[in-house]
Amino acid sequence: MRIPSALAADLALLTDALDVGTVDIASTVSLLTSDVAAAVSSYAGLSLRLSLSSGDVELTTLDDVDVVARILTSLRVPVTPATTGPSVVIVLYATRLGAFVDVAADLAWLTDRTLGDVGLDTDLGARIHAHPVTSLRSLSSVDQAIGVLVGRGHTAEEALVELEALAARAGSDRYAAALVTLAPLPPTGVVYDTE
Amino acid sequence: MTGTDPPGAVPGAMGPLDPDRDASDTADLQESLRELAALVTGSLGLQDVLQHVATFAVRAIPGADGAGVTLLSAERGGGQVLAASHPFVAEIDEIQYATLNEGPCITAALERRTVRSGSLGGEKMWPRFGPRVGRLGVHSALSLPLLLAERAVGAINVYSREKDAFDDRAAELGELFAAPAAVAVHNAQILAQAQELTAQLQSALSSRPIIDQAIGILRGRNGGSADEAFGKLRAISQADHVKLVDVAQHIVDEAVRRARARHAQS
Repeated sequence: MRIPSALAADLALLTDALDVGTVDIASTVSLLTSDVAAAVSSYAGLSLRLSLSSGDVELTTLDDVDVVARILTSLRVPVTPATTGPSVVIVLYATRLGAFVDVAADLAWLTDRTLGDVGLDTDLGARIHAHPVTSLRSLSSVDQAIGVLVGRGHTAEEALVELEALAARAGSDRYAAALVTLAPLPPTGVVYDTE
Repeated sequence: MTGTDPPGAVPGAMGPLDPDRDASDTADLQESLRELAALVTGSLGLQDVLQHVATFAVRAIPGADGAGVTLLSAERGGGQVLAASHPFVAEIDEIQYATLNEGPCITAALERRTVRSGSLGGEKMWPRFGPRVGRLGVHSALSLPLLLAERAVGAINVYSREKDAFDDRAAELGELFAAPAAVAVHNAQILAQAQELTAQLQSALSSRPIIDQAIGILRGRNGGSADEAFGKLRAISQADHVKLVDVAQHIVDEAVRRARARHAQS
């Protein structure tokens, strides 16, 4: 199953952050997608819901509004969450009602949960987006803008307050304020100096 | 013979059906299927599931001396031997996949059908694999594809030191065992993939903000694009043999320290 270019770009950002040469997160998504598609013929795609301290991001393979319109069932994969750090939720979607019942039953057994504890059809309706509400790249820009302001003498906390104030004055949001902060930077780098 | 006989299979291996043996075999199969169902109730990982499937297969299939489970995936580069009930099974499957790329499991998975041989030493279908395994004292093989609706996801490989060990009844019982095993193995694989993806995302998401802040600091100092700044971070990381996120953290910490020093002075 194809990975949309917007998702590929976000996953590339994350793969870079992993800094492990042998791991490509897009490949892991492709393998999971391939395995689910083999088990569920009406599988339509998946979403990755990421909860970060700076905001929530939803990455998705669903970039076709016609496919999204035909989705009738969902399954939240019961992965044991990490005790600390960002929260990750994987949601699978299919276009045939009941398509995930057998998979959900097995995954519930495998993780020692009851079927009621597995998120079957809990992620339908308004929560399905063909395009993410907040992209990872926008959060990346916000963090870069915080870095620019830290480099100008702010602490990270002050930088965030500065961005919020800039957004409030412009009647926009953090992301737009970040772009305003990053825009005037000179396009050509000079000799790198860590001092 | 069932409709699953391969070229080179031993015809007529099935003798008259002994009612006692049939009842015993069926009881063994039912017990193995019960265990197969029960094994998913204990928070097991993929490797545990595969190991249990291999062990239960030996019990479910009459004549078996050992069994292994292989998962197949083009994306993962062909067959992966992931579980074996006995060391000799792992040795044989290593010959099949890593050394020769030839043997009953490969045939079973490619052709999506049960394959068996009762005389591996003289087996024409696998002219390199058969004699080599025969010299190890293993003479019979039964390979059962793990079939989902549209693809073979792997295979169970069953071996015996006896000649003509697997008859039609053994193949039939093996197929009855393989059908639910395929679903259990595949769903365990889906869960394992999801867990791996979650771990990768959590690790990356923990590092990304600090890397982006360091990129912003470098861009603020030197100009250039985010890609160029990231390239500089990576170059430092590689030159100093320090993890990228640690380089980024150092740059951010240093900038914050200077900011606090300025505040203290003013």
